[in-house]
Amino acid sequence: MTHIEQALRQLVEYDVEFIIVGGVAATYYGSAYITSDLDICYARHETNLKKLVDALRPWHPLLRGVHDPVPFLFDAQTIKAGLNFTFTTDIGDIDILGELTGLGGYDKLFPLSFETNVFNINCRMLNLDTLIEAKRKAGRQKDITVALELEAIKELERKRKR
Amino acid sequence: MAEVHDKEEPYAKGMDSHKTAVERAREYGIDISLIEEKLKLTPTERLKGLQNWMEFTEELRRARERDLNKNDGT
Repeated sequence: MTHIEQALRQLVEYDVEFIIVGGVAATYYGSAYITSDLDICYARHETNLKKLVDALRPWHPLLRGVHDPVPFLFDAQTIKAGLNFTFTTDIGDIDILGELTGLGGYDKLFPLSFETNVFNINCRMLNLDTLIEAKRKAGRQKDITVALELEAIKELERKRKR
Repeated sequence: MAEVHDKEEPYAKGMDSHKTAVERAREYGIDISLIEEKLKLTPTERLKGLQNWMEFTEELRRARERDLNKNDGT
């Protein structure tokens, strides 16, 4: 289980630059798909990497799905050397993505996102069209399901506004 | 009222581009009524619902673990 509210609050308190993407964003728009992790796209500049690491470190992030113990130092340098990481933490599964497949990283996604308020927390959300595109490009069965849901949502909302 | 057609080519195999997004989703097996219920909620209510669901599934997982430890788990 991922404590979404707690994770978002901590990231915002540490002033991390991030955009909510993935299943939580899909839920925001009205998808009925149940996700079990929080996916964020983070800015890759050094100050932000440090803030991100400071924000997540208290929850002891470990690489998810690694069965044999591997040496892993959770610090800004490690994050800089990699790109997309899937973590299991004390408050649940959190994926930090330097880039979304075929769409790019934080700087490219920033103008395709907007500020919203959830749980009384101001944070950035990927816009609906880009989320649909991201899901299409990811192309796994579950992504296609969510993309189809989101397209239906877009259509239902368009009709509702008429 | 005329249905709105998505101009983009469907990317899931075997989909009919002449169908509306809702029709395509329904054909794929998506329960549109669940989405319609979600759309009645605010975004924060939707995320709280997701959080509650995660907590519930975690409790189910713990219960299963407890039961497995108690007996043979069948």
